[in-house]
Amino acid sequence: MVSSGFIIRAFTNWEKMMLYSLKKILFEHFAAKVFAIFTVLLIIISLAFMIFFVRQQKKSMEDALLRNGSLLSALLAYNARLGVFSENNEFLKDPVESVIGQEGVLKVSLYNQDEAFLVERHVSGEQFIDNTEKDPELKKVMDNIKATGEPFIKDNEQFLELWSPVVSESNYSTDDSLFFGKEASENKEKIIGFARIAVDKRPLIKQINALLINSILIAVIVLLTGLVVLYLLIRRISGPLNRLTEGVRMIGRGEPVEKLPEETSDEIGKLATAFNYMSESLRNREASLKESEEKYRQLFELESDAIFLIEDGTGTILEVNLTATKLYGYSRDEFLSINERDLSVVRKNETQLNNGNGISIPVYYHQKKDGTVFPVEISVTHLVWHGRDVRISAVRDVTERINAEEERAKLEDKLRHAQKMEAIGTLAGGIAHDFNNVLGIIVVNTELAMYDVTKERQAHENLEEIMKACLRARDMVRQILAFSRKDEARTRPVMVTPLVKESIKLFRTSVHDNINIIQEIHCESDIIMADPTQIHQILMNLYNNAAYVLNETGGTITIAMDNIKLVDGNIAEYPGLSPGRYLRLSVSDTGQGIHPDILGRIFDPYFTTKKFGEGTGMGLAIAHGIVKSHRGVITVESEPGTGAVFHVLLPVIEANIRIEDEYEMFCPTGTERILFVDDEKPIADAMDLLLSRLGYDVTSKTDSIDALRFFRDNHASFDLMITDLVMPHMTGLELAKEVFNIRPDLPIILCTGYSEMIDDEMISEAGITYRTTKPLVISEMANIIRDALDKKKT
Amino acid sequence: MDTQRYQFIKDSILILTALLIFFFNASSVTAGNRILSVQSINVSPYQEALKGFQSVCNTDLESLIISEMKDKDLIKEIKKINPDIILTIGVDALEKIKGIDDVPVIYLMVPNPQSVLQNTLNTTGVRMNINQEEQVSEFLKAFPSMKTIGLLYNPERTGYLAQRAINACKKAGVDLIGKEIRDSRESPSEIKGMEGRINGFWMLPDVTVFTPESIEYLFLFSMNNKVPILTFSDVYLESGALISIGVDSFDMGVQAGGMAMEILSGKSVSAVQPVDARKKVITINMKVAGKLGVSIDESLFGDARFLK
Repeated sequence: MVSSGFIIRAFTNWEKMMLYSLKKILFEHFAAKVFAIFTVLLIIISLAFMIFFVRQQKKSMEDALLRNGSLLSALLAYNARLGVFSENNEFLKDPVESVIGQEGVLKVSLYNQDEAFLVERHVSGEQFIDNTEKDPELKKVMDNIKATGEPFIKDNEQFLELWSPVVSESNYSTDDSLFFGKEASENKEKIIGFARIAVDKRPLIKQINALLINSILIAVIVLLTGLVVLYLLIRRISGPLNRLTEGVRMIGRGEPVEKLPEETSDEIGKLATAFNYMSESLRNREASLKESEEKYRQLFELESDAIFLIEDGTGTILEVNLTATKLYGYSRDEFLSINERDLSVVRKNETQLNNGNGISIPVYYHQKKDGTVFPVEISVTHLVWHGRDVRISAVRDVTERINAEEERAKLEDKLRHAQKMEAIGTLAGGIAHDFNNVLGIIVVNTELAMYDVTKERQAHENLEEIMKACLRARDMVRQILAFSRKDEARTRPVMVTPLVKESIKLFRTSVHDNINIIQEIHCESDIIMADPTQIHQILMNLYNNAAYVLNETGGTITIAMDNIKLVDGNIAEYPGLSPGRYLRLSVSDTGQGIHPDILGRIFDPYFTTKKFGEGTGMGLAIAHGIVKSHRGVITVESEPGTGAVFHVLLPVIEANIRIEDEYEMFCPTGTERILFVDDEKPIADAMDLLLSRLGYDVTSKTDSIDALRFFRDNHASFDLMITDLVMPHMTGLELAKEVFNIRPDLPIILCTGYSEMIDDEMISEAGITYRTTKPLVISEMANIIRDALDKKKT
Repeated sequence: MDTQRYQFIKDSILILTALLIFFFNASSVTAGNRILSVQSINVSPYQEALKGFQSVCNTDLESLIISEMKDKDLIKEIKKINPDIILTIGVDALEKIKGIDDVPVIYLMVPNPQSVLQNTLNTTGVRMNINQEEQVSEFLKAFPSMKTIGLLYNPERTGYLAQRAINACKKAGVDLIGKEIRDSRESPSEIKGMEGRINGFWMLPDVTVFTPESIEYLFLFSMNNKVPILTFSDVYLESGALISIGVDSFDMGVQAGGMAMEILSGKSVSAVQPVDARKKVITINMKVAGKLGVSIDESLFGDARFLK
C-alpha cells in the first residue's frame, strides 16, 4: 500500500511537474480521460492477446511437434512390426529410413520385446549428446510401456523422446483358427518391440521466439494504429462536444447561440440536432417565460392593491409591488428593510366595512412614510415560496370606500328624508286638493258676495280681505305643491314689488324677535316674466336661510330691490347674462358669513350647514333653479364674520304689458247651456249660482254617473261641460271620455284641485279642451268658459 | 474331371449309406444315447458343423464351449455328463480331451489331427482338409501358367500336409519349393527368399508359419511380385489371396454325424476311418486376379463363388 504522495515524493521536481500536469489534463479533459483509458485498455488487450496468442501458438506448435513426433513414432512402430517381429534389419531398413528423413527427427531406435537393441539411425552430421543408452531409465520406460501399452514421451531440454510400442496382433492359437481369421483370433495385441524417435526441439524454440517477436510487432502496430484511430475518433467526438459545451455555456450566460452544424446523421449529428432543438426550445421557453414573467410582473406591479410578500412568523417583507411603494411612500429597498409591524397602527375602535353581501370585514390602519394613517382592507393568502412559509397580503386603501359608505349613509338618510318629503308632498297634494276645494267654495261665495255688496261698504273691503286671504292661501297651497313638485309653473308678467312686500309681511310673522328686518325697495321697473309662486318661493327660501343663520345670535336681515343695467363694464360679474336691464333683489344678513371653502357649494343640492333634521339643503338649490329658469342669476357674497348677501337678478320687461290684477272683476258672460259636474255640493251650488249670474244656463250634477245619464238623454242641448276630476264612481276624465264619444264637438273644461293624476295625453284622449286648477276666481273661470265657447263656434 | 466325378459318386454312396443306417437304426441308435459336443470357441463355422452333425445324428446332445468354461475342469464335466460319444470341434477341443480314451471321440474342424493326437484308438473324425490334388487342380485352373509354387510349413505341424502337397504338385507337373520353418519369425525372410523363384504360393494352415505379420508380408509379397496365393480360407481373399479352397462346415458335420451313427450302431471307433472333408468351397477374388494380371475363366469353376 504505497500512497500516491510517497510515489510523487520519490520523483524529481521536473517529474513531479510532469505528473501534476498529466493529472491535471486527465482530470479536466474528458477526451484525455477516454484516450488514456482506451490506451491502457488497448495495451492490456494487445498484451493479453499477444500473450494468449503466443502461448496458444506455442502450445499448438508443441502439440504439433508432439503429435507429429507421436505419429512418426507410431508409424515407425507400425511399419517396423515385421522387422521387429522377425528381428530382421532388412525389414527394418525402410521404416527407419522413412522416419529419419522427416524434418526434426534426430534419431530413430528400435528394440525388440526383450528390450534388446535392434537398430538405430542418427541424422547425419547432427551433433548432440545422447546418453540414453547408458540411461538407467531406459528399462523403466520400456517396462512402463509394457505395463500401460501406451506410448511414452520424455521431454528433454533440446529434444523430445517419443516411444511407441511395436504391437502385433495376437497370433493364431491353433491351426484351425487360421481358417476363421480375426473371428477366431484372441483379439489381444501383443507388444513385440519398442520404437523410439528423438525429435529436435530447437526449431520449435526458434519458431516460438520468432512468433513472439512477430506478435510483439503486430501488437505494437495494432496498438499504434488503434491509438491513432482512437485519437482521431476522440477528436471527432470531442470537437462537437466542445462546441456543444460552449453552446451550453453561452445559453447559461444568456448569450445568443448559433445553430450547431449537423454534419452527420450519426449520434454526434443527432446530438447536435437535439442541442439545436433544445436551444430553440429554451429560447422560446425563455421568451414565453419572460413574457409571462413580464405579464405577471405587470399584473403584480400594476395591481390596484398594494401586494406584499411577507415571511410568516418574522413579518419580514420579502417583496412589494409598485402600488405599495406609491401608496405608502416607501421605496422597494426601504420596504425590504422594514417589518410589516412598522406599517400597522392600532386603533381603539374597530371599523367594519360591508363587502356588499351583508358581511362585515374588519378594517385595519396602516401608516404611510409621511405618517398619514389610513384605513386598509387586507386579504391574505398563505403559501410556501422557495421553502419558506410566506403570505401574500393584498392591501387596499379603503379611505374612499369608508367615505363613500359614510356618504352613502348620508345619502340614504337624505333619500329617506326626501321620500318622507315626497310622502309629505303627496299628502300635501291630497290635502291641497281638498283644501283647494274648500278654498274654491270660499272664493266663489266670496265673489258672489262681493257681487252683492257695493264697493263703498266696509263689507266689500272685508270681502276683499277675505278674497286676498283666499288667494294667499291658494298661493301657499301652490307653494306647498311646488315644493312637492305638484304644481306647474305659470309664467306671466308679474309686478315683483307687491310680491316682495307681501312676502316680507308673511316672513315677519315667522321670525324670532331678535331678528330685525329692513325693507329697501327702490325699483323703477319691477315687471318680469315669472311665475309669481316661484318668485315667492325664491324669496321665502332666501329669507329662511338668513333667518336660520341669525336664529341663535340675532341680527338684521335687509331685503332690497332695485334695478341694474348690465353693460360691458359690469356684465362679467354676472356670467351667463346678456346686457340689459335687470331687477336686482338682494337679501343680506349680519350673520357669521360663509367660509370660502363652502361658498362655491352653497347652491349645490343637498348641501347644507344645518344640523340633521333642520333642513334638506334644497332651499338655495331650488332658488337657484327657479332663477335660472327665469333667465336670471343668483349670486352670493360673503366673508367670514361679515354676513352674506344674496343677489337675484331677473330680466325686466319694458313693454306695456297689461298686468292682470288678480282681483280684476272683468267676467265675460254668455247664454250657452253648461253642464257643471262636481261631487262637492257646495261647489256645485256655488258655481251653478255664479255661472247663472254670468248668464249661462247651468245644469249642475253632483254624481258623475247621473250626469252622464242626463247628458246622454240631453246631449244635443249642451254647449259646454265643466267637470271636477276626482269624483266617486266615475272620474271626471272618464266622464269626459264618455261625453266626448257622444259629442266630440262639445268643449270640456276639467277643473280640479289636484292635477297630478293626469297628463296631457290623457287630457287629449278624453277630449278635454281646458284644464284648470282650483280654486279659480270667477273672472278666471268666466274667461276660460268664454274662450272655450268662442273656439267651439270657430 | 474323372477324379471329381469319382469323388462325387463316392460321397453320394456314403451319404445314402449313412442315411439308411440312420433310418433303420434311428430308434435303436438314438434312444438313450448321449453325445457331448466339445467346441473350442464359439464361431459360426463350428456351429454350422454342429448343425450338420445334428442333422444326421439327432441324439441327446450336450454342448460345451471351452472358451466359455473359464475355470471349469473339462474332464470333470465330461465325466459328469458321461457321454456315449464326444464330438470335438476345433483343435483346442481335441487337445483338451486327449486324456480321454474310454469314450469314442469324433473330431471335426481339425486341419491336422496327427499333430494333436498320440493315440487314435478311440478317435476318428473329419479332417479339415481338401484333397491336395484337387487343390492343385483348381489352382491350375485359375492360374494355368503357374510353374513353381512356394510353400512354407512346420514339419511338426503340417509336415504330412506339405508332403501331400508336394505329391500333388508332382502329379500335376508343377514345381514346388517348400521351406521348413520352426519359428514364425523366419517366415518373412523365407518368403522374401522365394522372390523371383515362384509364381504361386500355397498357404497351409500352419500357425508356426503364419502370424498376422507374416500373412501381411505374404500378401504384400504377392502384390509386389505378382505371385497368386492359394489359400485354405476365403477370409484371406480380401487381403490379397487369389483363390481359396475351403471346407463346408455343415457338410463336415454331416460326415461326422454319419460316423457317429456308425459308432452308435455298434461299430468300433477304429473301424470308422477319419476322412477329409468331402465338399470343397471355392472362392475366387476377381479383383486380385485383375491386379495380378490373371485371367480367370469362370465357366470352369461351376459352383465357385467369385468376388468382384
